[in-house]
Amino acid sequence: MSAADDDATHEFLVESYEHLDRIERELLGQAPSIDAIFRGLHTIKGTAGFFGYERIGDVAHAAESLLDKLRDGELAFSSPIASVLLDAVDALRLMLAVVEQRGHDDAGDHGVLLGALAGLQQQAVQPAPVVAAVAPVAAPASDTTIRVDVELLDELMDLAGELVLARNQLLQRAGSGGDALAQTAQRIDRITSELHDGVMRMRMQPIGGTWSKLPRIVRDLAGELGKQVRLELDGSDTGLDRSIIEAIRDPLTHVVRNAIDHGIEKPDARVRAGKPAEGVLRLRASHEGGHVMLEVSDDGAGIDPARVRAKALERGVVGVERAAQMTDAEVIELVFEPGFSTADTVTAISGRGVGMDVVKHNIQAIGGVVAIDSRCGAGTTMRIKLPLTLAIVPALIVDAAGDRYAIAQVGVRQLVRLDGRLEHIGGAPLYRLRGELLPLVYLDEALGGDARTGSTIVVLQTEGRAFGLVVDAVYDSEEIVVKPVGPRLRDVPTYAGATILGDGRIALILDVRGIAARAGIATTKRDKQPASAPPATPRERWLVVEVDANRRLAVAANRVTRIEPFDATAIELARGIEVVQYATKLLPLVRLGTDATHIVVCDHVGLVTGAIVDIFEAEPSEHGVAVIDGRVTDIFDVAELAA
Amino acid sequence: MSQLCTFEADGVLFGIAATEVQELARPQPITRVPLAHRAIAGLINLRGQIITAIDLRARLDMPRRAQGARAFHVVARAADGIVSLVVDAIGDVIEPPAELRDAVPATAPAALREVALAVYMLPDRLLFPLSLDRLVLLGDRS
Repeated sequence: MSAADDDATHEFLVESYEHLDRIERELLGQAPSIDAIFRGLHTIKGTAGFFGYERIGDVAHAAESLLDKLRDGELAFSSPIASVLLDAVDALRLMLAVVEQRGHDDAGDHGVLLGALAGLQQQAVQPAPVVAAVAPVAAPASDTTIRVDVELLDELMDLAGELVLARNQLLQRAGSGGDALAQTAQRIDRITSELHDGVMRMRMQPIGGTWSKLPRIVRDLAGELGKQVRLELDGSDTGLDRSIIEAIRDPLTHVVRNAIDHGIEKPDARVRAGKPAEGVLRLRASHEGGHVMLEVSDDGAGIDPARVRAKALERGVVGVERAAQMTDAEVIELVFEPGFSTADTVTAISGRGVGMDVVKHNIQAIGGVVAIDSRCGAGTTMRIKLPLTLAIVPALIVDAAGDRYAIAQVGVRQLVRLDGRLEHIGGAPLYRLRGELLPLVYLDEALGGDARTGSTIVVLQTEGRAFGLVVDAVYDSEEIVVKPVGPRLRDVPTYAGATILGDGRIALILDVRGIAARAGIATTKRDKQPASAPPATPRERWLVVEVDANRRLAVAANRVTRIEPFDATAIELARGIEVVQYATKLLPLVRLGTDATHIVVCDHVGLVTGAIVDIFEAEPSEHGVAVIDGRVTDIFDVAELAA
Repeated sequence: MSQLCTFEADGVLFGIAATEVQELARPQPITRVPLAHRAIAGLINLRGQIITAIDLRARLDMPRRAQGARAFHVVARAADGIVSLVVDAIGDVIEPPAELRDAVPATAPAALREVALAVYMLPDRLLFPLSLDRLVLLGDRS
């Protein structure tokens, strides 16, 4: 095959794939344009015939004939027709893929499909109202657009990045004086910014591109699960850099699958819950202050915090003690933890315990943030905040122990001067910021230095937690070009990359998550987050333990500070009371029953109990009992004991 | 191996294949990288390219360079990217005669044996040809 043939075939493949994508979109849309579908199929048939791909031609022809009947009004467009046409689209795609790989279209037997296409044409149907006699008239895109090789675009982007760096250097050297050099530098500054913007826009693709496969996925998946789902797409023309589009494709698909599999209920369950049988899955994209906000929401069952809590305990994702302290919003965030899945039955679609953690990881890897908000019974909303591009980001340049570092602006909440309001808890510095206790990390110390100096707190936000990074000085904000640090530094978790500053020196870009993890922030303090929905009645959380065979006691979970295994050999007697040594103090023990496997530490007392059952939510008790986990359970009042 | 680009660290003469060397550079400002492997001197900006610099002395467990002493860069193409070797001085490109080649003595320091391919007994001194790919492979000795 000659090079020219090769090119022509390539062109045929690209165009045909595009036609098929468009046809599929039409078929899945609210009011499919029969004309548009017909035209696409006709073009594929014609070009395939030119190349001698007879099988492609046969399928395209059969589908075209069926459409002919629709166009003439002899047949009405219906769901079965859409299904068969979608099958035809799939078959054509498959054959195109074979052409791409092997140069011929001999892929599978399409007898059944051809039969179905022909069969539908035979059905006598009363003339239907004209579905789409007049296709919306739009200027053919080919007149105003050209195809550009992605590699070339990437190269241009790299060059624009280099230019931004050189511009930054030039500006610093030229100064801001009124001489000719400074003026030229300012012009170059402006042109560079515009050029960079232009190249960025060139690389922008509407997010709708990644959504194009969703109608099909939703349709197939809903059909498979016996659910009714309406997909609503909003803001599909929102532009995003190619690199980001690529990176979110898989996570997004996973979130959508999850929403249908676990979120939206079966029609009968929905009706019982007083909702329309058809569930709604809504995707919304918008630009918001230099970022793209992507929202995936469903009106399904929502996430039940109690179930998540129980599951997390069962899977060992969190300890009992920690689970007791977590708010519902925090508990829901646990679905992002590795090894977590609340699906009662593992389905083929999701629920294998891989998924949401990978989704979160992938989104964070490109500098995005993901948050989840769910109301039990009312639905779940996933909010994803993405940078516009990966290549150039606004960053704050800071100084620690004489070295400069860049911090991506996206994670920076505010800057605060470090004044006297410092407190220490167990050696860990905390800062009072408007009634919130902000854990502080000294940058130099976090990077292995020994200096606890600094004058400015950069308040950073990561994974829903806030912390203050103390630095010696904060310089300007600069547009930095993110460069990889190379294979030998990739494993150092505190850096996200490196960049060249205006003066030609290199600054490392801090990985905020890496710093937080290294400083141990990740598990100490969570940022105050608005609760997703105030519970209707105040419910309390109870730690339920077994004390004798089959007898349970409940302890207010907020009083439990720690749970430890019971070790009989560690018990000493002090003035006739059993005590154990606990953190250099003596902890008096109270036996609640005959079972003794755990010590539940409450206030300054250790309760000796049997097995730990779980943590439950229940209405506040009356007369010292509550119905917990379907059983009447005695409440053990720790306050009374202390009194 | 034919031509070697030679350089010195702590008075010892080393060489890597001249074909692996991209360029030689004068002393450069180095941005240190806290928490990185101790053999990593930092990052240098070579005409807009960010390159990891490996300190040959640290890599070979040699004493540290005196404060303020000049250090040069041998910028080389390793299998997984460009690195710079920070050395005390840069020597000539030479082609040592094969008959002067011998195995690295078993008594040589472990770090040297790990990366040296052989030893050439030049008339006045020893020359250790190094494997660049082994040199850039940093273990866990942070």
